[in-house]
Amino acid sequence: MEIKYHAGPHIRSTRSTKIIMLELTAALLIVWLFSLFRYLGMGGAYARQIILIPIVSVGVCVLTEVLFALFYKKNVAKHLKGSFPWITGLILALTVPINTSLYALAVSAFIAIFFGKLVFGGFGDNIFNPAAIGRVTILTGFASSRLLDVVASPTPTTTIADSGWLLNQSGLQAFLSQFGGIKNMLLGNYFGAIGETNTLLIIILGIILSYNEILDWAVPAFYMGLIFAGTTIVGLIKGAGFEYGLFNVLTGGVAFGAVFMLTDPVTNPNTRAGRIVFTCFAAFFTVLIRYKASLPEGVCYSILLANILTPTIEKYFDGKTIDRMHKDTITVTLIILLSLFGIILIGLSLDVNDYPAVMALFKNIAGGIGL
Amino acid sequence: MSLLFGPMHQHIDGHKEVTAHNEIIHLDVPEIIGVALSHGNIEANILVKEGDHVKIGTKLAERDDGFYVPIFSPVSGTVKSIEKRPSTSLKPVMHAIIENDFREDTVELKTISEEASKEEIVEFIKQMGIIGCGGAGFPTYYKYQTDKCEHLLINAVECEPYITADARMIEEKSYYFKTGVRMLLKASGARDCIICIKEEKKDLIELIDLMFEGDKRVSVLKLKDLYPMGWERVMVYEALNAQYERFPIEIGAIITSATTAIYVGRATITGLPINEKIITVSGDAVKSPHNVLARVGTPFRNLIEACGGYTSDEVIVLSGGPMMGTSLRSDEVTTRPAVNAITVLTYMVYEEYPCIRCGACANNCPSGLRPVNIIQALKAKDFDRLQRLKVTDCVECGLCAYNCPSKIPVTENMRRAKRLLNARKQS
Repeated sequence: MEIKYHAGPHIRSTRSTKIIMLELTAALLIVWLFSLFRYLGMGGAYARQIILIPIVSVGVCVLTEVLFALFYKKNVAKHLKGSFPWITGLILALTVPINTSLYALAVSAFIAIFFGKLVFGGFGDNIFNPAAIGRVTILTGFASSRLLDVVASPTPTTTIADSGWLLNQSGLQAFLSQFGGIKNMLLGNYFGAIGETNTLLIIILGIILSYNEILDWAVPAFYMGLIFAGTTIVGLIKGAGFEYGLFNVLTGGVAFGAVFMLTDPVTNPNTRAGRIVFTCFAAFFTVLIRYKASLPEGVCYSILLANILTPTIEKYFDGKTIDRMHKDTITVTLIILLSLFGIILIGLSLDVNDYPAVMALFKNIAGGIGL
Repeated sequence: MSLLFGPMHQHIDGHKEVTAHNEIIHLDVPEIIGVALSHGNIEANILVKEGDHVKIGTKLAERDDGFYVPIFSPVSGTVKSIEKRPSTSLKPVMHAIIENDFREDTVELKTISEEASKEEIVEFIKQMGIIGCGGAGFPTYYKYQTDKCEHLLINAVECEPYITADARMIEEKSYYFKTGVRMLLKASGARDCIICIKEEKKDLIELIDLMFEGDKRVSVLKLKDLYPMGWERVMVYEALNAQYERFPIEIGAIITSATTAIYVGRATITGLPINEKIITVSGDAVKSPHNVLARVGTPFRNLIEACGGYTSDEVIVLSGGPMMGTSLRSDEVTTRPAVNAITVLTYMVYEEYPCIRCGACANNCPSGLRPVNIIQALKAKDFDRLQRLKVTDCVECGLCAYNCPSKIPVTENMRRAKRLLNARKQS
C-alpha cells in the first residue's frame, strides 16, 4: 500500500471531452443513416455516393492528421485520440450535396484539417470551424466540379434565391408545394446537402445533445429563434404568409449548422453571454448573405464570419462575471434586439415576387438563349 | 441570471449515506499523542518543555500576534519531546509528543454562566481556544468582537461530499448545540439566528425545529443540495440575499459552523477545550466508512484502521473532503481541532485532453471567475490581465477542475496564477 500525493480537487465529474466527442460522432452518424436509407432507395450512383462521401471525407481528414503526426514525430495513436479529425470529416461530408465529386471533397477535407485546424496549432487552438472551411472551399473553388451521372434537382434555397427570396402568399404556396409542402421539408425528403435536410431529426438530436451537456442549447435556440422570428415578421409584413419564417429555418442547413457547427466550443466564445452575442451575429450574417449576396446559402459563411468575431467578443466580455452582470445583461439584450431589427430591415428591403410569373420569366430567358 | 452567466454551482454526488446512519466508533485514546503546536501553519509560542507533566486542559502553546489562540493538551501524561513533524497543513510544524498516563486528570475547569454578558462570553470563547471547526480554523472570538451584528448564521450545510460529521455531532450532542447557539446569539448581539442546512436532511431539520421550539429568534433555512452551498458567500447570498466585499460583518452577519457552536456549548457546560472530535472517515478506498470519535492528536492511521483499513494499493489520504481536502504524504499525521474528516480515495490518473474552451469552469465558478481566461493569461504571463480577472478571489473550491471535461487540473493552475501574482506583488 502506497500513499500518493494528489493536487485537489480529488474527484472529477464523469463528463469528459472523449464522451462529448463520441456522442457527437454518434449523432452525426444518425443523421447520415437517415440519408443513407433515402439515397440507397434511389439506387445506382446515388447509393455509391452516399457511402463513398463520408468514407473519402473522414479518410482524408484522418490521413492528413496521421501524416502531420508522423512529420512532427508524434505518437500517431495518441495524437489522433486527442484530435478527433473524424468529426470534421463527418460534418463536411454531411454539408455537401449528393453530386459532389469525390476529388473536390478530398481536396476540401485536406484544406479543412490542414489549413482549418493544424496550422493554428491543432484541436483546441483553431479559430475557424474546420468543416466550414472545407465546405466553403467546395462552394467557391469547386462549384462546377459535379458528377454528371448523379442528377440532383435544384434545392429550395437555390430556387428561391433565383426568385429574389421573397414571394407573395400564393407564390410561396406554389413554391413550397414543389417540395411537398412545409411538412415534407421538415422531414427532409428533398434535395439539399446530404445531412442538412431532415430538420426534425436534427432538432431532436440537438435536444438530446443539449440534455447530455454535449452542446450549449442557447446557441441553436437563439440562432434558429432569431432567424425564425425575424423572417416571420418580414413574411407577415410583406404578405408572404406565416409559413415564410418556417421555410427560412427549414432550408439551407440552418438547423444542421446551428446544432453541429455553430456550437463548436473551440470556435465560439467561452461564456454564455458571449455565445449569445456570437449567435446573434451569425443569424444576422446568415440572413444578410441569403437576401443580399449572390450566394444562395449563408450558413457556412456566417459561421466563419462569426468565428472571426469570437476573440473580439471574448475581449469585450473579459473580466469577473459577478462584476459584469448588470452591464452584460444590457449589452446582450441590446444585441439581440439590434440583430432582430437588422434581419427585419434586410427583409423589408426585398421586393415581393409572384412565383409563377418569375418562373415564366426564367423559362423565357432560358428559351431565348437556347437552353 | 443563470441564462447569461451559468449556474455558478453544481450538484455533486454526496456519498453521505455511507456514514450518515451507522454507529459512531469510539476510538481508544492512544498511548502516544502528537499535538501540533501551531495554528494552521503559524507557529505558536511553546509553553511546555520535555519532561513536563500535563493534564487535560494544560496550555501547551499560544499564538499571540493579533490573533490569540491557545493550544491545550487533550490528555494527561508526560511531554516526551517537542519536535518538528508533518502536519495536516503539509508544512512540518512543532509537535508536543505526549505519553498518555490514562489517568484523564484535568486542570481546574472554568465554566461560564448562561447569564454572562456579551463581553464575558467572547472573552471565554477566546480563552477556551475555540476555532472554526468547519475546516479553516479561524479563531471564533475574533468575529464576535463587534456590535454591528444583526444576523447570526449557523453553517450546518456540509456541502463537501462524504462528510457527515457536522450532522452526526448535532444529533449526538444536541444539548451542547442548543446551548452553544444561545451563547453565540448572545455573544454576537444579533437579532436572529438562521441555521442553514441542506433540505434533504429531514430528520435533522425536525430535530433542530424541536430543539428551538418557542424561540422566535432561531429559524432553520433549508438549502438545495449544491456545491459549494456551505461557502460563506453563497450561504449569505441564499440566506440574506446580499453580497459583501471582504467580511460578512459588512452586511451585519456572522457565520459560525455548527460544530463550533457545539464546542462553545460544551465549553460553557463542562469547561473543556476542543480535546475530542467526531471525524468522518470515508471514501472509496477505506473498507468500512464510519464516523469516529477520536481524541485530538490521534494519528490518522489509527482512525483509518478502526474503519477496516485501506482497500486499494495506491491511495490518497486527505485531511478534509474530496473537493478541498489536503493530500497528505503520510498517515502518521495527527488530528487537530480543525480536522473534520479523513477521506481516503483510490489514486487515479486522469487522461488529459486539450482545452476545448467550453467554459464549464467559468459557468460553475461560485466566485464568478473565468478560469479558462485566467489560464490563458497565466500562459502568456500577462499579469495585468490576471489582476483584471481577479484571480485572487479564487477560493480553490475545486469546481472548475471537477467540471472540466478535458480533465485539466484547472484548480492547480488557479493556485499557480495566484502564487505568481502574489510573488510579483511582493517583489
